[in-house]
Amino acid sequence: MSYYFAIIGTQDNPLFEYEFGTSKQGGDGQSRFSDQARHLNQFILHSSLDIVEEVQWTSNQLYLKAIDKFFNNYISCFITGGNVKLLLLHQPLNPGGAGGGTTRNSTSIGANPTSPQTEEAIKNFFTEVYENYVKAIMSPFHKANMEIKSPVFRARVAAAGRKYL
Amino acid sequence: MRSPPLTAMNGQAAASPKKAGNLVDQVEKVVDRHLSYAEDAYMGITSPTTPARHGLDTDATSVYYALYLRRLLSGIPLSCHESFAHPVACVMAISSRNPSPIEALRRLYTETTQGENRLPVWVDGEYLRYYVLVHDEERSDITKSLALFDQMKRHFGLHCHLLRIRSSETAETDDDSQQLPRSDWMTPAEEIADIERSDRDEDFEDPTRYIFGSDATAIRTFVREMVTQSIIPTMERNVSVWNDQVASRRRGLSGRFMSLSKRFTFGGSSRSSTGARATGSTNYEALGFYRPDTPEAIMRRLADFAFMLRDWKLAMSTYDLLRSDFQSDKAWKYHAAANEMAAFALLIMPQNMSSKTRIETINQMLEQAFYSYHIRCTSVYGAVRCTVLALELLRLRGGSGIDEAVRWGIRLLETGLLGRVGDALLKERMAICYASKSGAGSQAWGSRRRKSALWSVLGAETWIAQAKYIQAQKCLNEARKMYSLLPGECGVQNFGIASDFLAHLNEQLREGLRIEIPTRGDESGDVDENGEPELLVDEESETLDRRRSRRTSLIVPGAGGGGAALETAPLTPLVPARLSSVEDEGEVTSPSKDGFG
Repeated sequence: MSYYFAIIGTQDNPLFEYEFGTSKQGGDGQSRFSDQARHLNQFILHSSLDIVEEVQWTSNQLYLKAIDKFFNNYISCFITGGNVKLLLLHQPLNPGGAGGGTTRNSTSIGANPTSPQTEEAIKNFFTEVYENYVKAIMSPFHKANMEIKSPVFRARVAAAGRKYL
Repeated sequence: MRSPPLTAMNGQAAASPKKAGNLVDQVEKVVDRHLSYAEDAYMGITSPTTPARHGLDTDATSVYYALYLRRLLSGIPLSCHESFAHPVACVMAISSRNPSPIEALRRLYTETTQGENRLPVWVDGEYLRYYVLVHDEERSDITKSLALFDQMKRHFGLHCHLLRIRSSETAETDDDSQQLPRSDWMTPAEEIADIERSDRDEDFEDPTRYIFGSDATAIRTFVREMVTQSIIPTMERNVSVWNDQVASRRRGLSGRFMSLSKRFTFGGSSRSSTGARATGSTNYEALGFYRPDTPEAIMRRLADFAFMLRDWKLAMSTYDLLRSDFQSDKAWKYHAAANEMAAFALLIMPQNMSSKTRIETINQMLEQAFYSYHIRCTSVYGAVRCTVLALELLRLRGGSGIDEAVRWGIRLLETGLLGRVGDALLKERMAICYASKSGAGSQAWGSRRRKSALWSVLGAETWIAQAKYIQAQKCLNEARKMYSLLPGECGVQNFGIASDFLAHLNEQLREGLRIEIPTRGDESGDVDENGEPELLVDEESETLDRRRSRRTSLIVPGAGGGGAALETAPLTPLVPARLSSVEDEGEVTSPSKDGFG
């Protein structure tokens, strides 16, 4: 299970990007994206903004759950009050995912990207990151749509990732 | 609708010596040849700075995708589980100089019912025979021909025609000559054969042929008369007869009861013991097909005819009946085809599709069709045809149909059934699919511009990996255009790796379009699959200003014709449209050799 997390500003500009792997089930927290997939991840995330723009009006929640799927990549979204989107791309390890999963896999968060457990875990992750994000942009030096470079924020996102995903 | 059956049978005859199962590969090969040809032509005639493509036209299909679809559909194999390639009529022609005309016609008739040129047993032999007397205006006597024609009418009834044409050859310089058009519906096998022939012949002669205008008119009249006065009325009559005698009985209460009792009373034993099968619990024989006189086969024909005559409602209801029958008989190929056609009929039907249930029904049918074709029958052709057509029809529905269409496209890409050309074309098509979804409001919420651009980029990547730079350029331009339409006017620029990748693609494209010419011959072969052509020359001065390049490509004047002028000229000699009699073999005896397998 690999994750690619990005905060997208109002002008389709990434404010923050972070790539990590699962820490559950003995995962080492490293992402397993191939080199070709790196640019693809960004493209996919960017293209999901289309779906976000459509789905954001249909729900009164900030957390929009898994909104999009591109081959084996699932995208979950959390939208903030300032039209900044928190997007998480997650890629289950076994492609296809239909059957063949061992008991260990089937209970893990990653195996079934649309299961309620996974959604709950991602929601927790988003909520924690969102709180940290709000605190980060409270900095008097921060302007709207400015990239977040704070190492403290990065460490906190990493911690949230370790904790929930 | 395919009027005379002969094209299908010709295609079958040409395909049968080779492996019949690789129809998709053949289509692939044909389109690939055309693409390479365009690439070569471009390298030869224009300078690399000029090509600019016209905008993304969401209504017109791209030339090559259209060609791909066309070739895919023109090669429908003669098979037992659908009757689209079965003959609806057969033209038997004799010339006015035939010494024993009536006997010749009789012999032609018997050849279609028995002997070597007979169709396989699962084809219904009761199709229309149309008798044509070809009169030579220059060397025969018209009074004699008229007398003979009268005699023909007495012997064979109304389905006769007297075709008056000239026998001398036409040259381009003649007054009344016009170019003989090339058949749009050649099967891939035929076209490959043509291309290979023209490649082999060193002394290349002009393949275009000419025909007298008066002859062309005569032939057109003949075809129109045959279709409107003979073929369609016959089909309509068949539809109503079959509907009355077979389908309505099956639709009625007793028919339902019969099929139920069939399923439950004998259902348990029918598959295991041959005795039960012989007593008629199932018409799906051990051979793996239904005989043409069984109700299932007749209903399938009824549905197909209704579909061809555009009675979608009747077609749909009949396919729907058949679906369950075939499923309980475990006739999977039939089952797949019936599901496929039921979904298509539902999609083509003009009325409401707004309700979600309809989309779900259609999806379910397509799902079953795809599964039966792909997994149960491993029929690549069936699976590809089903998905590609579903994609097109869903796209036309608009709205959420477009998302569904792309979902099916992705499904097809995932299975890897297509070759690399089909792959790239499909990606291009998905971009167009998404582009045709319009949003609401000034921000166009609900449109899919970013998605469209993503697929364009993917398409470009695939094309570059195959050294098809013209197509790649087209895709990249579309992507740029889509990104520039976004509210922020910036595409993936702010994403570091993605924009680097785009720049990299652009650079490869420049290299490809500029210095590709000498290595053309062996290029397409040795480019590796992950999109890294070997020729990367470092050019510092060429670093791309993305924003500017987008601007320029958008406002290139006079670019409108650029795309249309793409070389699709026939690379091969023309083949005159075939209207010969059933002299070709259409002999496929076992259903497994039909190209679906």
